[in-house]
Formats: sequence, structure tokens, C-alpha cells
Amino acid sequence: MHFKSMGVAMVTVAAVALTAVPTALAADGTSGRIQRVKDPVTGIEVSLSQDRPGTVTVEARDASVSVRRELARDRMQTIVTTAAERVVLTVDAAGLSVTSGRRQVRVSPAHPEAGADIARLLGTSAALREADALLSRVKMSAASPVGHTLNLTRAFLLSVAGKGDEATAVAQAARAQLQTARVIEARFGPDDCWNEYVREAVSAYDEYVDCQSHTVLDLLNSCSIIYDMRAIGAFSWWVSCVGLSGASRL
Amino acid sequence: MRAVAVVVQLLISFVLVASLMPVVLVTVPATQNGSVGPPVALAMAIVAFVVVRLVWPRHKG
Repeated sequence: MHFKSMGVAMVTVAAVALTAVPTALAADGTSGRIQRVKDPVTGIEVSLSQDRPGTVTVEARDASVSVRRELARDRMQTIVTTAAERVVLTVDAAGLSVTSGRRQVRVSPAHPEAGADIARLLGTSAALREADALLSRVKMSAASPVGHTLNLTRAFLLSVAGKGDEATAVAQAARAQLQTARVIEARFGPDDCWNEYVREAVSAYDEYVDCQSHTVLDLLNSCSIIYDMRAIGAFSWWVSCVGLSGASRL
Repeated sequence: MRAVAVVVQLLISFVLVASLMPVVLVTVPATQNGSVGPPVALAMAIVAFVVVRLVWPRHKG
């Protein structure tokens, strides 16, 4: 049971690490950027911040509990804080270290048997139960990096607390959300407007040249009239297509 | 009256640019690029407007 839980924990850690590395790499050079969202219904505040270059922090908190996950190049730290308890879980090259109150347990790949101690230590933790309840109420899509990180954090906390089946269910639900097809609004930007216009304008010109070469006597000047109508129509369409937002790019 | 004249001048400039732009796009293919063409169109519109204003008949007071 405990070994199964630890196995899920390791898989979760690997998944988070895989998602964390590109995020941390991409975050280099943009130190200090903070995004914060507060759900008015649940009161949960979710924030994404970067206190140091290469370190990204995702935090979910409400009035009673805070779950903070720090993703750095060489380690990943999860901190659960309530009024009465503080649990720190650190994953680095040496393994997994858990500190709860004055107790500290470390499990390494060479000594996985300490995993049972961790599950025993955290299995009764009220802070972890509150953290689980908090994260289960977060309504962010798993398709977003922050939502995905929080889902995996929840799976990680459940697995280290010895609740392997629940952890697996959370991880599977997150994976299913990622694999669900989503409808995304297509965007038609100013460049697309210009490309469409160029296609129509060049076509109008080609048609005019073709018309001129095949018409012997154009008394009504029909080639020019058709060309002008197409050219003016296409240009008007482009102006309306780019609109006010596109005008700033001119 | 003056405002109406400006609107008409703008419309004439617009039609001039709209009619000339396909020719420019074909003869100078670089303007087909999204980053080059729109500024060229805008510059042409400004030049056309200035020219139309210069040749616009004025009443001698």
C-alpha cells in the first residue's frame, strides 16, 4: 500500500517536473511578473509569481489554508500552511524530504522504505486534508499550466499521505481534461486581413489584364469598371477588417 | 461646407488608393508582405489626400 502510494508520488513528481522545467526556463528574464486570480464564490485566491529568476511559484489559498508550490531548476517544494500546522515537502536530487512540525522524514531512491514513515506522518495531517479540500474546490481548467500544476499538486499530496487510489483518480481526471477536445475561438488578425486583401487585389488586377487582352473593342470600358469595383470593394473590406485595433499597427 | 469638402476629398483619396493599390502590389511584390503593404497604403492615402487638397478648386474671396 505504502509502496504503491510512493510509486504514484514519484510518477506525479516526474510529471510535475516535466511541466515545471519548460515553465522555469521560459520564465527566465521575466522576474517579478505576478498573476493573481480570486474566485468571488469560493474565496480561493490563486497566484502565479516569480520571486527569483528561474523559480516559479504557484499558490492557492483561502482564509484557513495555503498551498504553495515552488518550482525551481534543482528542486520542487510544496508548502502547506494552516494556523496550527506547517508541512514542507521538498523534492530534489537526493529524494523526498517531509517536515511537519518538529519531525522530518527523508526518503531517497536508495532507501524507499522510509516512504511508509512519510505516509504515517502525513496520513493524519489535518493541514493536508484542508489542502486537499482547498485544491478540490479550485475551478481552474487542467488545460491551463496553473490549473494543471494545482491538480498535480493535489495528486502529489494525496499520494504522499498514503491515498494512492485517490491520487491516481485525480491524476487521471487531470489527464482526461487535457485530452478532451476543446473549441477555441479562431482569431483573424490584421496580417490575415492583409493576406486576404492581397489575394483579392492581385486577382482583380490579373482579371483586368486578362480582360484587356481578350477584348478587342471595349466601348463601355467594362474591364476598368469591373476592376475598379473589385479593387475598391477589396480595399474597403481590408479597412473594415483591420478595424480600430489593426489601425494601430499601420 | 468646408467639412463636406474634406469628406469628399477623403473619399476621392480612398478611391484613388484603392484603385492604385493592386497595381502597386503586382509591380512591387514586396508590398504584399503584411509588414510593408499597410504602411505603403497609408502613405499613398496621405499623399493622395494632400494632392487632392492641393488641386481642389478654391473660391476667390
